[in-house]
Amino acid sequence: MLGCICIAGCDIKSKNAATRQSQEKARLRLEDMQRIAAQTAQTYKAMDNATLVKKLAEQSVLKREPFNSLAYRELKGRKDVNSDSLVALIRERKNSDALLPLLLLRRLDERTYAQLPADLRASVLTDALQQSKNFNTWGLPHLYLEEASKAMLECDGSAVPALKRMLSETRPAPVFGSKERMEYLRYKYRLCDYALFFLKRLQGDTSFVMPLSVEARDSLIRDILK
Amino acid sequence: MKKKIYPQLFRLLSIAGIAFICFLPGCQPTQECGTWTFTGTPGDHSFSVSSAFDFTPATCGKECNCTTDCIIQMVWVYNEEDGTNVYASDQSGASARATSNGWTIDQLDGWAYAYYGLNNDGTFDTGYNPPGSNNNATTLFDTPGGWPNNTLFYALDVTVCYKSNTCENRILGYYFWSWSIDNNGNSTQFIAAPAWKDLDKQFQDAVTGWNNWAPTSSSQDEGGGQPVLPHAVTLPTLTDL
Repeated sequence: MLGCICIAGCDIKSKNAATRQSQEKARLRLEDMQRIAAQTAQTYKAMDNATLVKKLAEQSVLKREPFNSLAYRELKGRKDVNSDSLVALIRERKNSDALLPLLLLRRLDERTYAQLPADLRASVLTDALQQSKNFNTWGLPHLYLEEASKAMLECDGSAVPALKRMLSETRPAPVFGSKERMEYLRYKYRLCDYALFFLKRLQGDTSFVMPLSVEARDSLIRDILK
Repeated sequence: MKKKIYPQLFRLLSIAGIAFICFLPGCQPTQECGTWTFTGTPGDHSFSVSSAFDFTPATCGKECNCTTDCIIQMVWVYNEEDGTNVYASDQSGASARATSNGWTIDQLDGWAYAYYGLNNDGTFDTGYNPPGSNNNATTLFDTPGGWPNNTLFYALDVTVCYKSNTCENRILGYYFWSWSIDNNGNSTQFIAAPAWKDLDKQFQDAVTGWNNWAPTSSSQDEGGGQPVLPHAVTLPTLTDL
């Protein structure tokens, strides 16, 4: 009886019982997941720096974006991270697996970051670009650049040979998101387009704007490869 | 004596129980001064959406001549493997302006306004959100996608009166929609329904998050010949009609 009366009452307010049940299901699931997300964040907050750096190294191998790496999110706000531990990871790996430590070092300790050899930074960044499955780490070249892209543009000529090799790679460079995804679909980005963008900017064309048309981009790529 | 008290107590507790259950947030609808027409089509790790709101103030017993209405969308994206919210970008300030529960206004970096389809020059991008008015629906278009398996996507669409002599900045309706990508990569619609109380509060929190972040944001350049604004623009106070 209780259930019947309740459902009837909810019917009036939510137009029908099915809607009410859907709302309730969604609400409960949302609350569950919000609780888990809060617990996860708390777990990371409670970790010491050494443990977090270890997690950061793992999440770098998993190709998490910096802003979606729980370890990166937590470490970027800490003042007492040992730069040497990050440098050690970068020097040991020298490739895309060191991207998160590299970007964290750039954010937390600019001076130590600048002291890293340019070719080492370029090696990590270009390998990360080459290995990317989703390109959120880099941003959308016609709209905004994420920190990894800004780091790439600081590499001078060291990144150029690897970027030139990527000019022939036409595999898609997808971006996940809402409007971000729609912009990716509009431009139909490929790995070679990201390489083109970085090369143009690194070669001094600081106002280079990415053409919308794939054909126009292919033409620019052909010019560079001549 | 005791035998007489127990049935009365039972009746009282029953009524209290019914009242409690029926007034749970899921039972209380949010403002709905019109009709939502929602279409969601699952694709490969994606979900194509058309979310239209036809404003008819009589629906909620109000009067308002709104010459331009449009939609603000807030989203909540969650990865079950990591047990955390995920964001598409850092530059858009999405995580910085998210609420403590992970809801954030859905807007691209470079777009200065929180209104989903409003360009920096004050015109609407009809590919994203053609505006509406009384009895003329405004429609939000979105194709979220590309996330890995085990991702859940929740969205709340909020129609606001953007231009009016009498009811500018009033909220006209709320709609909730959701979809997920399972462990095998299949996309399915979860629930799409009128929103419930509490989501309106979450929305206000997301607006506060946007407004706190906007003045601190860098210059906003959406490209395409649109003006570059010095930073994102705060939203006005938005209240239910």
